[in-house]
Amino acid sequence: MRKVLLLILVLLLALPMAIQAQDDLPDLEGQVITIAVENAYPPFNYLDEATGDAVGWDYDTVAEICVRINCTPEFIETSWDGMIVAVAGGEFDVAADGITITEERDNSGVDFSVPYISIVQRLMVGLDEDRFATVDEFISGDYIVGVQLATTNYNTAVDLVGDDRIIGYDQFGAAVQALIAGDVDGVIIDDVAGQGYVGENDDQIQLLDEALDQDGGLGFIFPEGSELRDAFDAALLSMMEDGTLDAINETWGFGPAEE
Amino acid sequence: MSAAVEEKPKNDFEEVDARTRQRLAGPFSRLYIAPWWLIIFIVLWIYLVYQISNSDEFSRIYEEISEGISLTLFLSITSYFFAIVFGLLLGVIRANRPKPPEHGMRLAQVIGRALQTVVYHITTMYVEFMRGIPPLVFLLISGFILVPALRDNINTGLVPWLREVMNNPEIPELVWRGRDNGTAIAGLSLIYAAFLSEVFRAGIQSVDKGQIEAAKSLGMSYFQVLRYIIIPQAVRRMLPPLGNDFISMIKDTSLVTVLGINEITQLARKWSGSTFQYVETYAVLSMIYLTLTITGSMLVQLMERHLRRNEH
Repeated sequence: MRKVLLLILVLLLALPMAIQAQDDLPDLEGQVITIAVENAYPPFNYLDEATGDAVGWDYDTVAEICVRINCTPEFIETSWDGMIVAVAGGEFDVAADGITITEERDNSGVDFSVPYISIVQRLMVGLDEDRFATVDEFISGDYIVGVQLATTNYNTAVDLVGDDRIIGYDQFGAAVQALIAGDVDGVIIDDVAGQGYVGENDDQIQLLDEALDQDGGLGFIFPEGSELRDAFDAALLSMMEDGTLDAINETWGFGPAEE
Repeated sequence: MSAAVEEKPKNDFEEVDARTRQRLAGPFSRLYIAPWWLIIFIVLWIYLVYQISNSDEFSRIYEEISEGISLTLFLSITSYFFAIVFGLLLGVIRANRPKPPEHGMRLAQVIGRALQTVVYHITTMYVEFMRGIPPLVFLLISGFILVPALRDNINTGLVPWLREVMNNPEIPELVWRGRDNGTAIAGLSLIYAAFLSEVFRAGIQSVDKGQIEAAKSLGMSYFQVLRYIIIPQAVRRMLPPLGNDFISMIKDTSLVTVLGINEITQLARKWSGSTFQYVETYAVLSMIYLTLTITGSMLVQLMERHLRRNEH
């Protein structure tokens, strides 16, 4: 009996060491991983105006993750419309596109990473908008919302104003362009991405301060059961711990993650 | 979007010959010429209709998408109508190549030929431009650049000017948005007018020159020649390609989804994006398009056969 107790004691003492050992990040031995991006969703991934190169938070973060777990990133451009389904079908190893974590998506054949940032949705309007000042006024008028198809923002728009007042576009860029042209009255968008667009057009559009809806957070997606997810999670957690993620967030204008 | 005009039909002799050959070909010859693709398509179609009426998932999808069928047909028909009108104008202009002035012409005639040359080249430029730009690109240009720019220019320039000149502050501002059905119709008809103009041009030019010269020597004006000699003959040759272009138009209305217009493709994209039922949604969508287009192409074939019979 005493021997057994002793054994348990030893095991208990050894447990923290085992956890410590797990903290060592996995090594993928330079494995090439394919990452789906849209290159049309600033600040996550988009084409730099000056150089024409694809840049963004996704590129920096995945590069850093790959340094930590020893993999070789290969970014592949695809359209948002079919991205989740393509990942579920195993066409990509990862998709990075500021994807909001939702139950439906989780149940559609993909796995999410840990949330790397929590965001809110906001209403983007023209800079000189004087017909309404608050979200409530917007909702109670008959104003039209532009939004990208198959996004959580689209679902929010349906909840807020109903299907008839929504124009669904391929890309947020098109919705923002329609807003600037005066074809729609507002765009519902994640604040991080919204700030990306406002940054490029701050003489024409703005984000209302009011938050529309608390999202579950953004994550990377992987095909269901992918082993890569644990490696990514481990790298992400270590980056959160040592402040690297905050530094990258700051580079792309996210500010510190809101809790 | 073929601009080819039908070849001259077979003569009676060849048709009889074909029938005789068929009689001599053996007992199962019918099996080789039956329209198998159509039979298979109808079987698949019946299967899908059965699915739609018996599965909640499919009937829900059909319910969602079919709301856009009337809009798809409205866009196709209206755009096609404007494309025909505008395309006919372009085609008539393009069917008459400009000629240099001749000795002894009056000044008015010389100016007339110069004007015709200018109009001909502007028209040709338009046609080549529109045929060279992918329809999707032109629709994006229309929705995000041309229509907003046109509207803003009218509202900041023309409307205030009209209000001042006509002393009427009530003149309304133009409300035309990139996402309106009007943008889709304008875009599609401008594109298709260029394609249809080639059908008209080829149809007009296919009429024997000798007949036109004979008619002119009888003292007919150009419009009389057009009305009594060219159009009756050209129409027969133009109808089949025109019908095929209408079917293309039905398919190309799917492109206006980039403008956010709720025709069937847009409804399908919304639904598949929200429910992840991609396979089912696009199966239903394809079935709706195929039903529209194959019905259309069978009508075109019937029309072709009818025209051939009445040719002699």
